[in-house]
Amino acid sequence: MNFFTLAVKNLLRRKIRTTLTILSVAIAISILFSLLAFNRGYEKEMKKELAYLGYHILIVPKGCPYEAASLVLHGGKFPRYLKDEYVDEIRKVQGVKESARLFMNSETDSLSKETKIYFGIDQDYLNFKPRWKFKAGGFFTNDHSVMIGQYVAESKKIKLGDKVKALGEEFIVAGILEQTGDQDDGFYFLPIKTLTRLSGKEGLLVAVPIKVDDLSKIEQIAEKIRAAESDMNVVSMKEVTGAIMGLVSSTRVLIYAVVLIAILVSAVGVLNTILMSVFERTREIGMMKAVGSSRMDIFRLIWYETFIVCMTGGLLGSFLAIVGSSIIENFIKKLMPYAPGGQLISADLLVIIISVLFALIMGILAGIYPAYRASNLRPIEAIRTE
Amino acid sequence: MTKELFYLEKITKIYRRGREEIKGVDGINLKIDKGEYISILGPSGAGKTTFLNMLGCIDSPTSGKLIFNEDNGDKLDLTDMKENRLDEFRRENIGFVFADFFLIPSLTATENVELPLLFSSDKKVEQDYSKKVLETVGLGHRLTHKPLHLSGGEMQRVAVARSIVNRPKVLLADEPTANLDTGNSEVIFNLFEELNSKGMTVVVATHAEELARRAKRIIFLLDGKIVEDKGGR
Repeated sequence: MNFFTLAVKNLLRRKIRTTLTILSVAIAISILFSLLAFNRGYEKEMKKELAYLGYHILIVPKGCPYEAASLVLHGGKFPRYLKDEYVDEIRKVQGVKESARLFMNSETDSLSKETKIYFGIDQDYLNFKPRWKFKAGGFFTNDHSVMIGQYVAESKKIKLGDKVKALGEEFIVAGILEQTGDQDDGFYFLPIKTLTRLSGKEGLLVAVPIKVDDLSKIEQIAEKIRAAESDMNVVSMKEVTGAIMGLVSSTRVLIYAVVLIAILVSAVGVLNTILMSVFERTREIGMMKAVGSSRMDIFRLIWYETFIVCMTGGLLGSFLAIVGSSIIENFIKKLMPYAPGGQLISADLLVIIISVLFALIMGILAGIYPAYRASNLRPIEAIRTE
Repeated sequence: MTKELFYLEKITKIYRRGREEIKGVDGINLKIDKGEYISILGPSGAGKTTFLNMLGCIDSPTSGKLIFNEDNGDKLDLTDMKENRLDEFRRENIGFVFADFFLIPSLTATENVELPLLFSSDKKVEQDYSKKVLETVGLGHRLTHKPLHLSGGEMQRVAVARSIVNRPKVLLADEPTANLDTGNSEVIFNLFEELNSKGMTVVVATHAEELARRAKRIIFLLDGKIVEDKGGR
């Protein structure tokens, strides 16, 4: 027998209480683990998604540029528009390699409440999507053809050549995209001229994506475009990323506060459990002192007990977080101002180490007071305790 | 030649209850030789437990001197010793047996006996020594039983085994048969006699006069004072 096995046996004397305390630690650590894993995954996916977009600069209508950029990423109805002729001015700016016209609209079915997002594009847009592959068919064949994302095709069971209705008119499915893993999977792509006409916004655009020929000059090129036309917002995707990450940071502060409270509550729970156990075993501790245990021996024993509770809780919490990552991911996604697609919880070894380390620190801190108290009991007083 | 183990000079213990002072032990002078078997007799409140606790260094006297003579001739002043040294002293020299056994319910008989070894710095103690000790007290067949599955007599025998597993020089027993029937009390006192016959100093505080009279020396306490010392030098 050693101190560790003695500590385990002591904890097993109150199985329900020990289990509940371990669970409270596990819950706190699983929240911490999920947040850490989410932070890493979110940033990774966010950058990946913006990279998939293939834009270096995005030109959007006046107003909040980040709201417009977010609408381009999510899809939806725009409150303001750009004039089509701006595209020609933009193309004249030195350093602009590719540009395209984008329009967007959406329609909600009054019965099913389902929203269809229509993305108006032309041939130029394909320069921004080199990774697009067609599962069936190809690009638009006429003004009333439509391309659909993989998710739309699967969820609505739409096949190549089927007719789909959009904004009151019928379209023939000319192409079905392979899965992209981003928002394109859920879009209906229509010829831009048809979509602007059906939306009553002919000659208007919602955004102009731009690729530059020299990535190191994005900011200078953006400045030149701003100088060419003042009635639009020119945002680099770096700024969009920064803005979204900024919004996420403020949400993150709230989540950190929740995690901190959960950990504090859990630490107080551990302290309470171990302290109760010390009170219950006062006479036993007195006996141990009488048979020769030192203050350090008692301190070590009680500390081991706290350590075991917290480490077990830490490991269990990490395991639960990995197993339940999809549920936790959905929950956190709802709290975020913008969430990219893909797996947002990215649990690597570092996250596991940090979480377990946190449980360890919690164990060390929560164990100090009960261990100190137990080790300072005078044998005679402890034995006399009723 | 007898060798003095303990030397007590005017040992007094005063408890304070509000403004009232109660003398638990009142100016005891005593010498205890190595290998003695002593019974402490007296009514409740006579100071038997207080006396024993001070002898075993789990309580300290208010005044007086308590000297322990080591084998090498060194004299240890136990009244002037720091707590960590007292822990060490208890670990190396004292075995305690209590009326309430104080066994840990989640540990087997063997593990309960092993407990003092866990705190011992003497790593030379054999791993299976606790089993041998349990066999000595007649519990070789109960090694893996937990206290819940042992009788009162068996529990006290486990407690005796625990008190002697670190080979102490002195065994102190405070009302060891208070919770036992006559048969089991007999067994425990037989054990004390056997341990004493092997050279261990045994001091037992008890109410049981008949059993106490089996000791070679009997000390009667009343109101914290020694009123009679039968068989002493």
